[in-house]
Amino acid sequence: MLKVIIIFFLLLSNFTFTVCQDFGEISDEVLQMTSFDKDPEADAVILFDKAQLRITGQFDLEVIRHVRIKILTEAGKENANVEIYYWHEDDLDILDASSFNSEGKEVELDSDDIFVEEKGNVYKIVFAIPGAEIGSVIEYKYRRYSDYISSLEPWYFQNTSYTLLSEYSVMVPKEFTYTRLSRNLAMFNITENVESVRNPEDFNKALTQFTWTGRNLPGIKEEPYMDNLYDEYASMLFILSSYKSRTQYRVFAESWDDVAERLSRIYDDMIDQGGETEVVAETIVSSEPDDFSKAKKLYDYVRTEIKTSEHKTIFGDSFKEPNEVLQDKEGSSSDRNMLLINLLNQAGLNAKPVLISTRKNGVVVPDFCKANQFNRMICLLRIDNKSYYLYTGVKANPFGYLTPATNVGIGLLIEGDKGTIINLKPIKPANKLNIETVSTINSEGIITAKSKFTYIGCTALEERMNIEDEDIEEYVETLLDNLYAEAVLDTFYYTGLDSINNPLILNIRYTLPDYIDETEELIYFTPPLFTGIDENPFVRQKRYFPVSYNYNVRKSEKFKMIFSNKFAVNEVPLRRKASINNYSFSEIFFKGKNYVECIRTTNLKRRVIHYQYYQGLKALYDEMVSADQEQIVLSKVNHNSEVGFETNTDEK
Amino acid sequence: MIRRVVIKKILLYILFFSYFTPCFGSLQEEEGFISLIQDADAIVLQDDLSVTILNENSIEYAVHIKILIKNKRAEEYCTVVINESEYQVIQNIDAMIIDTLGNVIKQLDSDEIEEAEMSPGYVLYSGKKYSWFSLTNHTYPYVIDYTYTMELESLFFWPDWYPQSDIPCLSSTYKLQIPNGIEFEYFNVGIDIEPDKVIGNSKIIYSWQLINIPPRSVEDFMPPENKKQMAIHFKPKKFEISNYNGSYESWSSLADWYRALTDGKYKLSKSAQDEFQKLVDGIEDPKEKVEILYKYLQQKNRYVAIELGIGGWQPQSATDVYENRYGDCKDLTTIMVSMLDAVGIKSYPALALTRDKGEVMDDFPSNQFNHCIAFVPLEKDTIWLECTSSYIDMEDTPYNIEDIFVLVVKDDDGELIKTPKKNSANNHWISSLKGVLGKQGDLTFSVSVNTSGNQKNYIKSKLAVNSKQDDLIFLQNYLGRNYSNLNINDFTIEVPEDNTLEYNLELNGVYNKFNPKRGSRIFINPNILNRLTGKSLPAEDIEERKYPVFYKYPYLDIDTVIIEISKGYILESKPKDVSVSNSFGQFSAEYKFNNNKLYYLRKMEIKDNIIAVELYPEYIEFLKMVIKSDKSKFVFKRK
Repeated sequence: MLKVIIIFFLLLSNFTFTVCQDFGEISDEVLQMTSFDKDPEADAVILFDKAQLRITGQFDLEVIRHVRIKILTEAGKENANVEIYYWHEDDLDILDASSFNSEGKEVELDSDDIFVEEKGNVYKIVFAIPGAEIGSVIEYKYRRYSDYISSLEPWYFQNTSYTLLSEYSVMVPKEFTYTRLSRNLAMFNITENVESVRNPEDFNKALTQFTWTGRNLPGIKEEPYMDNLYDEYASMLFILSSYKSRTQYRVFAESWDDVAERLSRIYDDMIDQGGETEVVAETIVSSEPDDFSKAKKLYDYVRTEIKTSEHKTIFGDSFKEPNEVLQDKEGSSSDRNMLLINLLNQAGLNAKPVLISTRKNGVVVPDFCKANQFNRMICLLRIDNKSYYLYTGVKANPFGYLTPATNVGIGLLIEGDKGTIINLKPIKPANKLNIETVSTINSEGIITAKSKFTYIGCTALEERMNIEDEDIEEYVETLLDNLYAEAVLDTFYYTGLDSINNPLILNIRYTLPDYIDETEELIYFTPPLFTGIDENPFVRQKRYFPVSYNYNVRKSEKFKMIFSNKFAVNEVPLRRKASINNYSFSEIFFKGKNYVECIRTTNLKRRVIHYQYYQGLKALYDEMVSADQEQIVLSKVNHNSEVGFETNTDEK
Repeated sequence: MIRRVVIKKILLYILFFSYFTPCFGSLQEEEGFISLIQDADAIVLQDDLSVTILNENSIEYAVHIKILIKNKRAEEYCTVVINESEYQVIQNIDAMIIDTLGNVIKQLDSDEIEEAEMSPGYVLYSGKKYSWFSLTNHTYPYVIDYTYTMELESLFFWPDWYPQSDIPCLSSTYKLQIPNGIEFEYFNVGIDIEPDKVIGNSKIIYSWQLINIPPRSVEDFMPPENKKQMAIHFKPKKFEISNYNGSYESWSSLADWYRALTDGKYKLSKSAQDEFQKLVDGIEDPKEKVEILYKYLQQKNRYVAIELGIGGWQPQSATDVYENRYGDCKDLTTIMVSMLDAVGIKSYPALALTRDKGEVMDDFPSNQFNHCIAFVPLEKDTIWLECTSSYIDMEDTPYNIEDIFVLVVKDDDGELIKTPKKNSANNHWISSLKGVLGKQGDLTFSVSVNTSGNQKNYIKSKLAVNSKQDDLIFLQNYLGRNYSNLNINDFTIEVPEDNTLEYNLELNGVYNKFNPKRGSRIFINPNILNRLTGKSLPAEDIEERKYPVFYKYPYLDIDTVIIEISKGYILESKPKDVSVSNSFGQFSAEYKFNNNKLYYLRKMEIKDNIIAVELYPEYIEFLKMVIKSDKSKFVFKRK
């Protein structure tokens, strides 16, 4: 839950210095510690991680970060390889870095062993703390100066390792106002302390120091079905709003309107850019009868005629102008969407840019008015009071839909100088995958099958994206290989590949040699199901954050085997069924004189499952894994007739 | 104009397959090659490498490549990455896109060339840089045409010729201009041509050319050395790098160079020497001393590679490693040699090419190495120490340095020696699982696993470095790979007192819903832990296979399973016993059922890690038989 607290600084009477942790002052108890009782399985424990931020009299930012870590296993030694990223215009000094063994012997980092790597505007300092071994305590401290005080980085109280103490402290002249935003703090007791301290630059002046302290914070590591690791950490944003003295008034924090005003200076020219775009727009829509069909035509033009290139930015030098995109016939997804916005406007339609943050990039904090939270641009089109959200970054994405990666709930609408956080309401697809297989078995026990896949909504989008740049035959062979490694592909064809508004259909014909098991009297096999699973992805006992799938989806698969009178159904598995909140599974078998049938269904109604259902979800997968190993049993009947493939059985 | 004509001709050739006549250096019958270029997403039209040896210490070379891009899948060839270092500097880069008519439609702008520093994943910092660009077009086909020139500071970096890539190539040339008096040698791999030679007053020009070069063959499980199918390697007789003179005349002369690089690096302080001596005080057996010091090295140090300039080849001093407690392979080997020296045991560094990168060309002395290990020749034993690992036992060298030629740098000599290899029995996995199938179909079990050699190294690499929680997750995934509903209650690890080369894992847990008794029958595949599936089969048909099958190491697996079944069931059928033995492997599976207990015994052995291509048909049959057996099930029927 996000909380916004706006506090005006109070004049406090007691002037004190913050008591900082002395470098290398480590108790014998910590030095000699061999395991950590609060997290006995830890590779390392972050004993403390402290940052102290100070706004100088010149409105610069000074950050002092001090980290101490206890190494408990071989893998924990990795913590001694330190990488610190920073903006190329900032100055960063390593003040101290040392290891201390269990007897307290210190090995200091030599300044010659500190290296800087440059990549674009981001620099990285790397160093290996010397002397680190199992049982060592490693410690480092650095100072960073920056001219940019309005963009303080978020503070993450958590890390991949257990953190005993995380402390974030900000010292600012009392004339400042600020905003604090927090995320995922509800389950932790984060304390806040406010005090007045002397300004080290001018002892006659006071600074107000805010300190937030979190203790005993469990580590979180990457796990399956996670959108963004950092979204799950307990974190805080501290935003300086303004400065007001008798002689000076400065505003640091931006509103969304400020952001929009700045961006619109770039975007407005792009939206209005004429020339080639004007000609193209006019040519494309000239014979279209209404705004909606004009919009669809222009959308299809950008979607199909402009190639997607690597995404770089949503503003700045690398953001391509519409005419440039048109000339190159190539641009990133955001470049393409800006071209679409331009073309729509050239055609007299009302289209605006909306900035979003993809799922991998992390959730946007609506009250933190910074453009760098966003990493993609989409288009909002309004026709007759109806809104359409358009994204041309994926060729297979239909008009009015957003892809799973870009369907993120909120975005920043830029309308001239006005910036507004809006809820995105794209068309909601009904996501389905239906598979129907009809098979026969010959006297050698070889199964011959025909499967028809019908992809609808996001499954169709995903499938079209999968095969867009692939060798399709290789792709289908892999699909079959995942069903059964020895399967032999006979023929296949797709229908609806280019009709992105319609379901995508794949028909494949194949054989499964050596698939069945047999005894003298019986044959038995697990139904070969494409949606079957043999692995439960949820191995950990506990989970502290939600399980995030790509999209909600209903999958239904029917497998039918028809056989001659050489076989008879002996036994089919009983019905299996399990469900938790918003996710269900069933597997049902039917039998007849010359056939046996299995229908497997999963229905994920919401893409995100709350972590309180984790144990239930784990058990649901256990049930699926177990059910997908069930056996169909046929008896061999003593006849001499040959069993052949029956045609047209998949037409019903 | 000339370019336009050439491109047009090449494209005509590709379209009509009849431009060139196969001549000297042609590698593929025209008919076969035409089929290759028809099917390829991209074709190298021209690949010219022009190397000019300026003097004893510097080289300039120019690369000129033209690639026909037929579709989007081929655009990976439009991204060009050029590495730079202290010794290798880019002089210029130029690139353009040309259409099918030979018109230049795009030119690379210098702003489009990006630069960044680069340290490969295993290196913390190297100071190396790379420049890269990507130039594509929206309509296909088109030709990307690029050139770049480099200046190299030492003949040590003399570029080799690799005319073959993963797409067909119409023409590849290597042109070498070398002043008189600079001696060099070359070594052909898979190329059987001699160069044209033009002798001038002050220099000689050599030219090699190949046309119609098929793409590299890629096969499943192929030996690493076979992945490089065509190359010419070059070396100067003498070279100098960062004021260190070297010679490639013999392995011994190369060892001289490494010895010079390490001069003074083995010194340790008196206190450090005393510390090491104290560790082995009272111990007579030199092998035991080596083991103690090796364990100390592993416990106290970690692998961190910082390779600046000559630091890519020259180790840090033992004193620095002792103080810092980190280093790369050559640093850690250096301190290991110093530690042993401190207790009176002579040992040497040995330069190695890890097995995953191929094999050393033993009759072409040159710097072919990417690794360094320690060689300890004792009176009764010879010990090889992999100094970068924190968990490998002294005598259990990992497969990557087994059965390879290494250059042992002795005090006044250098010798190419082959490292030993463990046989299958010494890379064993022996498991014994006992379980009870409960009323709800859960299988409650305990299992003991005994491993040795490289199978032990694999398990240890996962269990010896992480926390118990991560170990548990590894074991759940590893032992649950055939049936993933596994809950491990507890596990322990122990090293048998009588054989420290082995590693025991004891574990108990439950396979949930293993076999719910819901119908009249239950089906049990007793092969729970060690199953081969169709994914283990190489993709190549028997008649297609060109290269041997490569295993990382020979191995022996023995798995025993005993499962108690409810008395309410009787055996309806059990799989047939299987037993096969041949020159490269053996397999047997036995199935029994007595007193409501099923018994399963599986033995699988791969005798050597290379299976000759002539044995491929037999090998495939063997694998298919194993796969079939591994999925066989007991069938029980309710009474």
